[in-house]
Amino acid sequence: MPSVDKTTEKLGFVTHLECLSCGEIYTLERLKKEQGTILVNICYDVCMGPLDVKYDYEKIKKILTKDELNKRQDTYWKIRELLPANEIIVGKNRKFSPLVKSKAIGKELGINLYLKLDCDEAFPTRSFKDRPVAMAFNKAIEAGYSQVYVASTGNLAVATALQSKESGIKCRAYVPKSLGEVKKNAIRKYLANKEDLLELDLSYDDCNIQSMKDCEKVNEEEIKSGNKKTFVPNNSFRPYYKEGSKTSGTEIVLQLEKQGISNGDVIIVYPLGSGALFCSAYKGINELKKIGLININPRMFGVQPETCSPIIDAIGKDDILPVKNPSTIAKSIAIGKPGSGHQSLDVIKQSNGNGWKVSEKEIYKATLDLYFKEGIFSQFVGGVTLAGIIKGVENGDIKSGDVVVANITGTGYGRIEDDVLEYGKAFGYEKEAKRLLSEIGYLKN
Amino acid sequence: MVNVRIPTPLRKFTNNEAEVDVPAETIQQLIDALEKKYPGIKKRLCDDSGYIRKFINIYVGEDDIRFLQGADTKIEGKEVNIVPAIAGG
Repeated sequence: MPSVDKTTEKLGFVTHLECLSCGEIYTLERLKKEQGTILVNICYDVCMGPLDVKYDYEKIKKILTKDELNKRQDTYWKIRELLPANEIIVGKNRKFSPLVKSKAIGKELGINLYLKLDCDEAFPTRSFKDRPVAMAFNKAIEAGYSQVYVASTGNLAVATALQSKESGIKCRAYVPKSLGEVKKNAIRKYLANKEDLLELDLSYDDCNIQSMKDCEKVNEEEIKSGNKKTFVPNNSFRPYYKEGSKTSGTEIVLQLEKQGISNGDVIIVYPLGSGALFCSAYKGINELKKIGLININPRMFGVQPETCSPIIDAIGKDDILPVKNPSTIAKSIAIGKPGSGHQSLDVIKQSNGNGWKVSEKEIYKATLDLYFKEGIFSQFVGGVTLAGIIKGVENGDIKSGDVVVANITGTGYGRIEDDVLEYGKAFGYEKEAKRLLSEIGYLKN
Repeated sequence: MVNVRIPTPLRKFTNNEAEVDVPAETIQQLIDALEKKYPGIKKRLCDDSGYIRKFINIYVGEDDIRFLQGADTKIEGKEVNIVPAIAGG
């Protein structure tokens, strides 16, 4: 097979890719020889399962010492030896997102609550998607790709569109027609060509399949000529893409240490869509532990809406039953076939964690609470996280005084204002919705 | 004959053909027919007990067979798509 891209068998401190399902090992030499590229996403030779990037931890341990870490700025690339790149191209000076102590809700719940704000303006498009997308584009530029197709419930398309514009890579976005108009406008804002937003009468899962099929078709001719030009960031080289999300977990534990929390259990709570962020964050934290840099013991808790809870429903069971046409106000996690679902179940088990399901009304109310009590206007997915924590306190999973980190993964600004109004009416919070929207300047008095 | 779209990683079994035709009325028959024509491919699609692997999506027309009758789903002249289920995040 001809070489289809510019990747080589040498990639930072990466030793190999390993199947998370059957354990098959793919060295970079083997991938290059058998597939013509190291940018491979599945266990093609055995079980078609997801692949995970592995590193030479002994070697990294000698370089990434506590002293070395302390010398470095708090940026995305602070743990660069644990990221799969030969060269830092994207997000060179991107700062950590803030980790702040809760102003009011933690006290109300009787817990030591911290909020990790990927929704903050520290991030280019104010969602966690800026993390994996930076890694995907770093790889794409290294390998010489020139076009990206992306299926999205909103945030990924926004992050991809912006990065495309900055990198000079053409972008086409596939979204469900049902996505809020404000979110669609946010994507259009960053797309070089507005016609490249395809609104399909499909669920997110099916938009995803469509983008992959189209990508494969467009690449067929390119492969014949020995050059593959189009990629889907969260599919084509997903093992590498996911590595970018490890920084969510590593930032949390390094920031907690600075706040004096360097030992004992920490409950880390994420909303679950595909589960990739959840699993990657846990992986990052464990890698820091493996090389002896931290002692915190992470306990991972996931939250899903009652109307779309394939992962939470599968806790303690063997298999995940997909949800057909998932529907929730937290549209960014309306994912019926979670790509990292099985791995999320393993993470929950290994870390002595758990999961909670929350109602649509609880999600809405918690989103309002984040704004009125903490001053954070989050997407409804932030409400999912907080509503889950409230449930955890009620059912005893979270005890008084526990250290808890709530991940607020995406901003509400310029994303969900129309939904806030519509669902506010539906759930009996019209007055509060209007107050919020007036205060942020969306509604004029 | 049923037209089947083969994902890139499995094309080493189909001589790099992206689309192949095999005789079948149901998905189970289709998998067996693919194995007969392209030995070795079934092991990638099904586990040791013969069940379709959890990381494989099979579509008949626009519909995922998980929401139909699984391996017993009738094809009824539609195109079949095999898509590895690794996405999202």
